[in-house]
Amino acid sequence: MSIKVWAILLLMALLLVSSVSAIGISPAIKTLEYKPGATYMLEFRALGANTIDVYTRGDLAQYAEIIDSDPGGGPRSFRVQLILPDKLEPPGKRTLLVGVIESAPEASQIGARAAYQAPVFIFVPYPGIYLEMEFAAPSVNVNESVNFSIVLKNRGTDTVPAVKPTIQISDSNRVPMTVLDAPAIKIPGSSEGIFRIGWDTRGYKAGPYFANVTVRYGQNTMSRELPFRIGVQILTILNHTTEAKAGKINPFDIFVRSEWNSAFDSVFGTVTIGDQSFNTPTINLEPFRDGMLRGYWDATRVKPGIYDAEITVSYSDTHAFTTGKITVAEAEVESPTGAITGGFGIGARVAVALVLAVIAGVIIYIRRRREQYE
Amino acid sequence: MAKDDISNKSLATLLVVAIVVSIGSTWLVLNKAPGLLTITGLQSSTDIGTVDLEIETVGSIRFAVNNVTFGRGKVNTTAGNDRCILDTNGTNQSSKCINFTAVTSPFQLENDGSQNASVQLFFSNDADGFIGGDSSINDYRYVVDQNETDSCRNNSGGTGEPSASCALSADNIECSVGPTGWAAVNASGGPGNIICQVLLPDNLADSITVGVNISIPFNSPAEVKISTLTATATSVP
Repeated sequence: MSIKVWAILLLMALLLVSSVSAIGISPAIKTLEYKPGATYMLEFRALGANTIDVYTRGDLAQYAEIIDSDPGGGPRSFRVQLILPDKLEPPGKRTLLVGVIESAPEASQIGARAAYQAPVFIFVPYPGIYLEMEFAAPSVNVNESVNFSIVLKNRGTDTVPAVKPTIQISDSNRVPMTVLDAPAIKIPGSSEGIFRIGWDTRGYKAGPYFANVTVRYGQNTMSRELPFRIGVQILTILNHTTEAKAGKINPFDIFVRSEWNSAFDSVFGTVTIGDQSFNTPTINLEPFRDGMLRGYWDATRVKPGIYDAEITVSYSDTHAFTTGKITVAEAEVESPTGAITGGFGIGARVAVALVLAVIAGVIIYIRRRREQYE
Repeated sequence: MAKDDISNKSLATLLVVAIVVSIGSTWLVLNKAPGLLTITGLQSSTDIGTVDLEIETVGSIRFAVNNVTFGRGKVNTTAGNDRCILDTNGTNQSSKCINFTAVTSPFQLENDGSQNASVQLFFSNDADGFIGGDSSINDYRYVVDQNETDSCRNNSGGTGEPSASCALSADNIECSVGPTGWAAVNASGGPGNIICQVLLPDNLADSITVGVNISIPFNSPAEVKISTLTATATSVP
């Protein structure tokens, strides 16, 4: 095989060498329970690059030891032994970062390399009772049930003997409508209690609502408010293009909003202006999201003026309809130099004329010289 | 046939090699992909037929573009010019830079795992260490941008308002990505500045770019210049 062929093969091989670099670790995040003096053996997998180094960082790194059979090697499994001390101060969230990093690129002027750190969280309990609350109030569609979720985490060392949540539901004007509650439960230290409370929305109107949860334990209370919606299968036309230029094809936008807690598929608009009608491409609209439908109106033969527009947006075997006005303005006329008429003053036009005159003069001069030589 | 042309035999060899390499690459990809997301299944022994399914989280980032090379060149010192400026937006001042290559591809970083991640960045050297020469003229700067719209979120989950003044810090939760204007590189050690509060793992919105801009002074030493930037991603809940 000739040298040239080998050279081409080498080039191909170089092209096949990926210009990307990647690094990864699994699991990407971990949460452990704090137990004084406990030993954890944590398993990880390093992914991606051909040469990977493993390291630890964070305020628990001093208690961790990496057990890696192939330091600097490729994708592999490794372990981290974490021996927790009998006492960790101060209490709260503590972190061990287990990192993987690829080696620096070779022969690059400015090269990049990637590293990934998987945090291992350990929560050191506070003395006494320390409650944290997570509250979820999902939106629903009409006649469906709202399933409220309350997670109470006792980050303290002591047991909460009785904790009881109450949810007050209000309408958009904050007028209370109903109250829901759940039986009291006991939550030991470093553990959590989960409440799921349902609300049947039959008989309630679609629209925005507020859920205010209050948790009582002993003499203490904590509360949180979240908005949610009861959706209705309606799509609203919010706005549309109202201005266009004569003598050109104009974009025509229709802005829509979903009032439904499910996705609308294949939403499209039909616009009629005078004797012209055009459609927009279809879009999919996510729950309670706004969207834009863009079509194009050919106004190349339309005179300036105000025209009526009929706008229909089709969705889920039904449609939304509105009418509006669109003002067609005089088109901007471009001069031969590409400048918009009126955009440049007389000075600019004189300058262009002078440049053209100079060019013409040079051409004439060159021609005469050529004629003289011939 | 001209003497220098490649023979049919050689072409056939090339074709076979190309096919083998192609099949080999496909095999490699198919064998590597399952390792990125492991799903383990264990059926319980009860009569109910419950299936325990554990999906491991995977934290992974990749540089889709991981090097920038401006090539070899020099500063054009005629007409009193004292520097040459190059950047990854294609800036290559032809009147002031001789022979350097215009670069239009910034570094491109993608979250190809399954977990949200914050991203920090540091450089192996600063302008003095990388470029050298007159330190009042040399410059080594970077800028961060969303490669796919809304790939980065701020700490409150919003998309932020990236602007020229949007410099990120642990306390600044309004910006999703930064710096959004050219800023001197951080070479004071890793893991460095936060450049993206939360980089999403969504396929259509999981990518940012890091552009670099260098000013080479007339008296920068003639030598091979090498710098490495390190992006460190950390999983966030």
